[in-house]
Amino acid sequence: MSTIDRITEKLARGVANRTSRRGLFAWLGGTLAGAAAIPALPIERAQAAETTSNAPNPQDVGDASSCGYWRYCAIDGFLCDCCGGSVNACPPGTTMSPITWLGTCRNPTDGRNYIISYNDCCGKPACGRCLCSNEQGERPMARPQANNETVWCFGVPSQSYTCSTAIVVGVATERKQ
Amino acid sequence: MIGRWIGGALLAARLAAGVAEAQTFPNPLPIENAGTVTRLPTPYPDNWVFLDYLASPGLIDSKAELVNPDARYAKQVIGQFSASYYANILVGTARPEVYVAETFYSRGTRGTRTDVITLYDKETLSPRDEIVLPGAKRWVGVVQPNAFQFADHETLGLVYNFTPRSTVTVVNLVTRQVLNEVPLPGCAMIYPTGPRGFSSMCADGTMVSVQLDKEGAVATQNVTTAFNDLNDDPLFAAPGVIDGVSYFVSYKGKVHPVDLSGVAPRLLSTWSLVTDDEAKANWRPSGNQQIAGQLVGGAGRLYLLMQPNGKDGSHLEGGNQVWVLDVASHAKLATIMLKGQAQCIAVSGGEHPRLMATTLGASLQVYDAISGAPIASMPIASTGAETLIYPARP
Repeated sequence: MSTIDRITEKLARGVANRTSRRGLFAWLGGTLAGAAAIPALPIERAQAAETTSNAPNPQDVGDASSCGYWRYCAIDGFLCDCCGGSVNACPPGTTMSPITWLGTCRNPTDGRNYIISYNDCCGKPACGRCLCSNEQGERPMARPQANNETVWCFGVPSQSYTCSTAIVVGVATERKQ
Repeated sequence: MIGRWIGGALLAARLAAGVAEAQTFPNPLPIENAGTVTRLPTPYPDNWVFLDYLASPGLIDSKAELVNPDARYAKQVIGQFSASYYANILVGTARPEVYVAETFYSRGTRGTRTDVITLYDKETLSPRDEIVLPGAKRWVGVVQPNAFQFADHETLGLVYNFTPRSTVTVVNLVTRQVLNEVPLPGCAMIYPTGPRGFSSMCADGTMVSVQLDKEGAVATQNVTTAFNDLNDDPLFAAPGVIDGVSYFVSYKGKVHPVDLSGVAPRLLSTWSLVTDDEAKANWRPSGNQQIAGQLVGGAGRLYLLMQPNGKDGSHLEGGNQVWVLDVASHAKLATIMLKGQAQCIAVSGGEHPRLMATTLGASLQVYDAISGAPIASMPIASTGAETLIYPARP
């Protein structure tokens, strides 16, 4: 890791730890923004998504092809569920970006707040179906991990944006003051 | 049968009239030359404007258009040029050139990625030259003015990169040379600053500012105190600029002027553009290009695209009215009602400034920026949601 990367990581972690939203969100933000070369958690999640069951779950209710589905509170783009993928899987022939932006969405069924990773699927033309522009908690590029105006296709062969998934990566906990 | 008879009679009458008209024009139309291609006058008239589309027709083959926002030309485009894959444009005034920071893949959506600054000739709208940007690291995202900026009187072009490591590529636009890549840890976007430098917004709420030497290396650096509350009331990325002062506005309507005319940023006094009652009704700025700054009759004016009932997540929706504020007194001078919901606005310079807005109904709405009177409404090639407006005369 270069000196600049170390400075970046230190700064990003410091900022994330000083933020006053949810503790896990801040921790993940520091990890993602700073450790560009070693995004261990998102890569594991990207791989795990291929084997996730899509069987109906009474605790996870909603239409995955609709912008109103609770996981999509901070999504900006085409829903992969309408594009040959699903809420947590990419369409055929695309590559899921392991580096992502994050949102914090409330599941109305169980009342919990979840960290949602909006992994973009990359390498095909833009899907063009089911466009959603939900911006809850969205921030300018000064806080990149919460910016959804960026094409989050990194560490993949092509940055051609196709669609976005919405993957549960954790439960948000209130930050201890 | 009767209908057919009437139709025949009308046709005969029309033919007779045609013969009569032909007799009044004894000479045929002159023979015309094929092969003519229009050239444009430079400098352009003050009121011409560029539209930078995010995806028209698609992301990888998008474009920018030059239009005359006058009711007489509502159906016409003056010209267009490619602006590929989340391209950002800069309209030059020092030289008759337009600069496009854009990205290509050798096989459309796959293959080898190449980032370039393409230099278009303003007279022909043809590519004059290109500068290849090393590393294929240009930030790609919804088009934003501050991802690509001039410095040093248009000698330098500055390109914001994100891989997700943040840097800025420094290019000499005159010699067509890439000079340097400036690391930008934890900071984003480009705000021209001082004689030969730029500032960026940082994750800890500060603004970092650098001045560059002739080789594009960092000569001096300054950091402000934290003033951007990214948790509870963040500043929109793009400011309105008047006389060297950048007016940043927050999601909830607080104005943060920053004097960027000197070597180091100078934070000026803040104020709120909404009254207490307006704040209770959640009047907020909103949109993709939600602010414009302009000198109007020698006085600084901010134009803000506003929405009522704003909330967390509504900051990019746009609105259907524009508030006009005086930067000296902070007073709201006027409210201009738009025909439709807009997400992008701009105000042209000159003696007859125009307020322009691209709407979700795929139109460019044009108003007198002083009186607010509507001047024109013209269709555009895509939804106005993410269609930036750049006056030819900034």
